[in-house]
Amino acid sequence: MIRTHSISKVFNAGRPNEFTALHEISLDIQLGEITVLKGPSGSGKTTLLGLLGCMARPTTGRIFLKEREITSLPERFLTGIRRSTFGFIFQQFNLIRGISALENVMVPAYPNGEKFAQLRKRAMDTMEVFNLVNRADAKIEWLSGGEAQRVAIARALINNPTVIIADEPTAHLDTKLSHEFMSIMQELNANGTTIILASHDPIVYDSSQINRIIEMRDGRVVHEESRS
Amino acid sequence: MILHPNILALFISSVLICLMTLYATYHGAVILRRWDISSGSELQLSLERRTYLISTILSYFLGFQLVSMFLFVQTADSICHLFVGAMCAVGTLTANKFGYPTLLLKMLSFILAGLWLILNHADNQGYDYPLIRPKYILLLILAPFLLAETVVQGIYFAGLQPDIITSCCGSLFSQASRGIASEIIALPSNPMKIIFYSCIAAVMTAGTRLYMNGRGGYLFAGVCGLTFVVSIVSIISFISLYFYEMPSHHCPFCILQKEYGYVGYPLYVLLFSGVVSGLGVGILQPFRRKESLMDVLPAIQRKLAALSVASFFIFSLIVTWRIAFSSFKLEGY
Repeated sequence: MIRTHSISKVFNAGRPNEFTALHEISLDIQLGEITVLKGPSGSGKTTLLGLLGCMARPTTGRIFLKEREITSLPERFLTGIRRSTFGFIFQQFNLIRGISALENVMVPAYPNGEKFAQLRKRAMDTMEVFNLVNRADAKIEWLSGGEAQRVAIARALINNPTVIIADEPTAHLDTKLSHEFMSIMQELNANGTTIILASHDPIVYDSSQINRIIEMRDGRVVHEESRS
Repeated sequence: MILHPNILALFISSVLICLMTLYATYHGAVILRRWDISSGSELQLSLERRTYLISTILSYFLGFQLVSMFLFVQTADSICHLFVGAMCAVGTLTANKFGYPTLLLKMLSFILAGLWLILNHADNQGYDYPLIRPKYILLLILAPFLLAETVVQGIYFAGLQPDIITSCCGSLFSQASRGIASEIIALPSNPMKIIFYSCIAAVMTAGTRLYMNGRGGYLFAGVCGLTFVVSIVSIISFISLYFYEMPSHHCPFCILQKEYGYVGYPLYVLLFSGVVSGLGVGILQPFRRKESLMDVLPAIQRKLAALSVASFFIFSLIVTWRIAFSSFKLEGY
């Protein structure tokens, strides 16, 4: 379980442009489920995802991952947790241009010190799952939108994370690719991976595969709905 | 004041280290009063973020503090020609009454800063800031020494004038002189050699025991502290004589000079590395049962013990080599 206890996030604290993005959010997110953070732009979804994924720290409050408190962890420990527990899929995919799809998939695993040949094989196996083997050597700028999306998913999976975090993953995809993305998420979830999505796309939050929807507005949780 | 580059470097660095330490001490005082890892308050989270940054910056400053002791001695040695009567660092240090107090404060703060760096390193290995309180308590102890050192060193440098007539080491480290130096010089050499080598043997025995089965941390630290003192006394009492090949020259500073191959630097580096790492084993000993450090602390202590044993062993090797192969013989005294 990922549990947040009264977390708030304030940007530019103490300055004239101080902005409170999250107000005392307390949530329990069950592992093994697909959870969607739903809400309009500026509602705090991305900020909350960043905190859940250990990419930022809250201003107040604590976050517990499997009963282990993680907000107080020094950066070196947080990096390890981030690398081993979470896989990230960003809105713009954030793939590195100029290098191949295969190298993009391998990048998050480089700090682990795994043997290159072994890592390459794992990366190729992951790409095979998404029918990307024949595009492994293609540079990112040569990929279609769908291929880039699947490379981003493969990259998120390379460290075998227990949680996939995706921020507006369908924002730049057409309807067909959005449905394809959701079916991949369902498949991953069926294999035990926890999925946390932030989206205001009906294709995502109306999907039948969703276990839980957390609706946000102005940095607060306004509604929670469990479907399972 | 003499505007020598080294003096300026020491003066400026000392002021910077002192200011950074005072800021970190203020932060440490807040931590000691308000730290509560179970709280998710804004203050607690802010302290967690700041302590990591402050500790990292402070560790670089204190790293330079270690170097500055040797720079201070080297400076005192290199500017001795400016003072009438001075032959080595002793002359510079006695140019006014703040020279030796500065050196003593530098030595004390070297050891305390070294211990703080060891505590900080160990603290960084734990996920829950396990040594944060001991670390900042030690900083509270260290800060007054650093402040005193900055002030005393400043007064010392400000009072250095090229026309001062000072004493050479021959007069200070002779049996005719008064004070602790003459007491040390008067010690008979053979019993001192026995004490010195016994201490080295004790360091090796206690260190090997600690390395092999992880036991005797406090004993090892105590033995290292004692060996450090005995080694300094031994340098003045008999070791220096073999380097100078003169029966009446006991100066612990002339061995830093070119004529003696700068052998004093490795000797003192080894002694200080031996005592800091040895005492470091002891300072970590009470925290071996902390949950987040249980797996890493014994390994750190073993490394420190190995470093300490190696330092004292190499020190004794250099000394023994000189005693064995010097044409100077000190027998029946």
